[in-house]
Amino acid sequence: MAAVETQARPTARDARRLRAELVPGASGRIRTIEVLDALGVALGAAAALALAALATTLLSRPVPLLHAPGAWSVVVAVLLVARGALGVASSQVAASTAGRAEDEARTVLAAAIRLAQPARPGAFASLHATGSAEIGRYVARAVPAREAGPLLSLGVLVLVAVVDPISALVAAVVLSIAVPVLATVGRAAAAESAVGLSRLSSLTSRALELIDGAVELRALGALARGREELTAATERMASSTMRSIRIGLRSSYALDFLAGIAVGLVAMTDGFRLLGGSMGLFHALGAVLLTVEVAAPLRRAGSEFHAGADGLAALEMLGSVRAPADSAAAGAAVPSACSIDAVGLLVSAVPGGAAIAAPISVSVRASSGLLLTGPSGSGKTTLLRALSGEPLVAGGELHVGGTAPALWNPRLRCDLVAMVDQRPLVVAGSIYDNLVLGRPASRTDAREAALACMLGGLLDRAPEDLDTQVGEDGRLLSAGERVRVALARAMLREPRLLLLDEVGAHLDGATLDALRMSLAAFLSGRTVVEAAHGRPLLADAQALELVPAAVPT
Amino acid sequence: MTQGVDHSILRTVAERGAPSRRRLIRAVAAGAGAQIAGIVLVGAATALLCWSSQRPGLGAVAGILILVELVAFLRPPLRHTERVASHDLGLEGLAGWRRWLLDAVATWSPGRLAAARTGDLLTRCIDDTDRLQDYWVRADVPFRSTAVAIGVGAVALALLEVAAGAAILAAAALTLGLLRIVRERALRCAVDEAAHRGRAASISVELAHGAAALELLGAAGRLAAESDAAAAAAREARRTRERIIARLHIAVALLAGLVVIAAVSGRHAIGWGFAVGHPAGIAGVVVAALAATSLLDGWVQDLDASCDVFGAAVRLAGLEEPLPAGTATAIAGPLRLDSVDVAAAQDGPTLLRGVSLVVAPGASIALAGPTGEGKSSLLAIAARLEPVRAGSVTLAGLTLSSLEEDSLRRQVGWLPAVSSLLEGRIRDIVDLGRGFDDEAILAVLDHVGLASVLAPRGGLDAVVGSRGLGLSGGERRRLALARLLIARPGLLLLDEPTAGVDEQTGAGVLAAIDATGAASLVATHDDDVLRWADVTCWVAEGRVS
Repeated sequence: MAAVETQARPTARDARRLRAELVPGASGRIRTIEVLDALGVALGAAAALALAALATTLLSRPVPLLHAPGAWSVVVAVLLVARGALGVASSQVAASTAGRAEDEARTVLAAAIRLAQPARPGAFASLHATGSAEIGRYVARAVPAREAGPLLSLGVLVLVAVVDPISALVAAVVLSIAVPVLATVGRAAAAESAVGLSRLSSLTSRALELIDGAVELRALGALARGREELTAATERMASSTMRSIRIGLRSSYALDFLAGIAVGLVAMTDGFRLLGGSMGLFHALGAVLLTVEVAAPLRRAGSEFHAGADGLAALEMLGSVRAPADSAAAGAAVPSACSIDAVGLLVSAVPGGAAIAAPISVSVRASSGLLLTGPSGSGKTTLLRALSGEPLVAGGELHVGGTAPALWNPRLRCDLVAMVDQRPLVVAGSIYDNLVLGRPASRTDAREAALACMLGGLLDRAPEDLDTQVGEDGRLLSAGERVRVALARAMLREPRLLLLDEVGAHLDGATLDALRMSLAAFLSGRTVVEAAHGRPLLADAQALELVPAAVPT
Repeated sequence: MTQGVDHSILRTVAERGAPSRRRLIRAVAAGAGAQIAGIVLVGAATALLCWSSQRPGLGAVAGILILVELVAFLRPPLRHTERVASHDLGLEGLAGWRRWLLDAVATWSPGRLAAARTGDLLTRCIDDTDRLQDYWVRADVPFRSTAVAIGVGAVALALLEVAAGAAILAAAALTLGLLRIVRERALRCAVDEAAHRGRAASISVELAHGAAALELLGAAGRLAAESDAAAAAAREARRTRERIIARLHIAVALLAGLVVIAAVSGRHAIGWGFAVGHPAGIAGVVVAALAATSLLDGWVQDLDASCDVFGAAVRLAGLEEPLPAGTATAIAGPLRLDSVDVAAAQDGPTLLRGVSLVVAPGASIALAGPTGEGKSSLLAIAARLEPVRAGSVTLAGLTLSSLEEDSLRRQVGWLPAVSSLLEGRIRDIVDLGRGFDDEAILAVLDHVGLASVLAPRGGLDAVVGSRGLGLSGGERRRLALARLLIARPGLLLLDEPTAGVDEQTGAGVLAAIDATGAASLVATHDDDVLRWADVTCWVAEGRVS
């Protein structure tokens, strides 16, 4: 199971490349953050030395300057405040860098989604909503801490060597044991993180479904099952999280232990040397206090790295979903007249999949109508989607106005085609927002279109007329009202090719008849392809019966 | 956005995770011990060196030498224990908080759920519960253990050196005061940030589900921009909070400096203090004073962490709707509505007034009429999913609100206009953990006409994607109906059961409903259904006739 879930682990170089490609602006600021952190460590080291000087002056007799300890205590105080201020500055730069990285990640995701409907909407939404923020934290905090950490620790160690070489040697010997330990632990943690992320995707998708259907589950008496599913998904997620947390905890433990031993040993050896009179107090104190500071950058690198592991995994996932660089190439001009020609066309439900309908051959003149009939599952919706430009052609030829729809320039395609799905898209907002979605129109025009699509009753009843909210996914509208809103929206766009999918399904006979009359003029001026189960909007249109593909025995 | 800030919410919500007391005590004690050990390590090491510089002889310093080594060994295990216990505390509660949220959302009426933003609820279920774990790891336990460490340390210090000990206690009190002053503003920023994130997530969900259609409309870019704007607003709220915290950090750094100055000059003023009047002790004390002030900085970090967690807690609290707590067992019988008023939403306009009808056992009543006139809401009221505004609804003579929830759900089946299907195998989708065997599932699938459709795809083991991906509209409808019919409820409340289904299959569906022998109240546009029903009620213009 684990083998299926983990992939080849990326190296640090891969991670750097991903950062440079996906979040270039933010990655450029990492250097600044590292410099600020280095300054902070330097101030901390200076404060430690000043403290050593303070303690030395407290003990030396005679006291050279009466107020010398006082002066040193002020120096220590100033250094502490300076370090605090620098820490604040560093945080602020980190925060703005994280914000930049998050924006860049979201842009990449938005571009990716324009190419294809994500197979796992919940996981995509999670990546867009929180994954991008995690990436920001990873780039702004984990990476600088990790890259600079070892260097900073080494720098402090060098400072110890300047103050007292022997203490530095003792500390170095003890801490060098940490290096291989941390490296092994780091690799193990990274592997766990990938597992965790895929489980988070499952958890998110599942949670989304359960929340959507919570009331229905209760009505079915199956809420217990919902609870179980949520618990199970959480526990699966938690078990991988716990593993990676434990790995992180173990590495901090190792580092804490070695750092503590280093301080203890340095204190012991310096104590003996002081007793023997071969060393000055300032050097001994300075060495010990600095040794305390040596491990701090490493410790921070460890903890930030584990905290940022999710961000790294999200970055990898981003790398895998992003649009390939050459994807913007499809840019054929859209035709002006929409005649449809299909010869032996095979359509598949998913790009690259098997054909779901028997070969289709039909020829439709521009500005005339085509009615698709056939049992459920015979490919009517798929054919409509293929006509709208989705890459669902599995064989044969499909041309609209001489060009293949899949090659149309996406931006120009919006002006040419309008589609009303079986369950049309309605976004949270007002009725007006939905009518002008993607193309602005005046309120007068919007109202005209709405009335033409028999929405007068809805507008009368609606408390705020066109500004009435329709709820997320248009849930405050009935199915029939949804369809009519989408129709009005399509009307406003004046498409040359109009694709309708079962618009009559949720409308009663009277409304359908009225709609037919009201839209007759609109439908006659353009090419219309309608899929219907026997309640078509089109009158006197060429008919095409679709047959499901023969099932291989 | 929020009026006052109720601090008790955090405790209430965190307690829902049912933390184990022993683990909590272990975490706090270990944490305090580790922090004290850290201070003692630095202080004792400094004292050792200062003392050694006086060259008293090995025997004199042996004791403090051993103390230094001992503490160096003890500190790491104590820290490790604290961290492990805190993480365990957090994970303990996670599943519980999520179940609690699901239960809360399930108590909502279909109207309220329809008006809510799913992405927002999703962030509450996944991210806010995740952040709540941090309550134990980063806010509660560290704060408490630091308080204990400061208390113990300062008192011990005061015994050795009055000025230093008093200075630390004063600094701690000042810090706590400052924390109290800024906490309200910081918490409010956290709540705002969480709300903006929820909004951004809602739009993310819309983008994810409607990608193809949005792209065709040319509206994907605009929606993405809206989401980005909400995310930017969240970051702005966070920045405000960070500015508040940053000022606190600087204030604490100043206090730390003042403590050092006070400790040194205080020594001159007050004198040598109690027991250890030894120069070595002084130096150790000053250093320890400094280490203690780093604990104060830790307190500021704990406030920062508790803000994150508070924002999460606010979004999880208070979501449940009260459910009628009836005790009577529901039995099969006529459904009777007397002068019931129907409204579209909780406080929306009344759509239908004075509706009275009876559904006798085995009878089928169709509700026909223009869309949006209240048919769906009427069904929801009859299913006890929306509250009864006026009039009464009884089932077999018992008021709906007096019935016990489980038995009511067994008797009454409700099919909304749009069903939500879970991802997975057909078998699981239809069974839903209610204990039906394969035979029963196959039988009901056959009744609705899906058995032959699903057989080539794997039958009961066929896998269906999220929201019924992989099935056509009519197939999804029939699957939802199958999942309802298999439980053989005595009363069926169906909203457009034949939507998207062709005539022939529709007849099969109606036959399946007949076969169960249940009474049914059906809202529909389908002429075939109207013909099939015993009685048709025309729902329009605020009345049912």
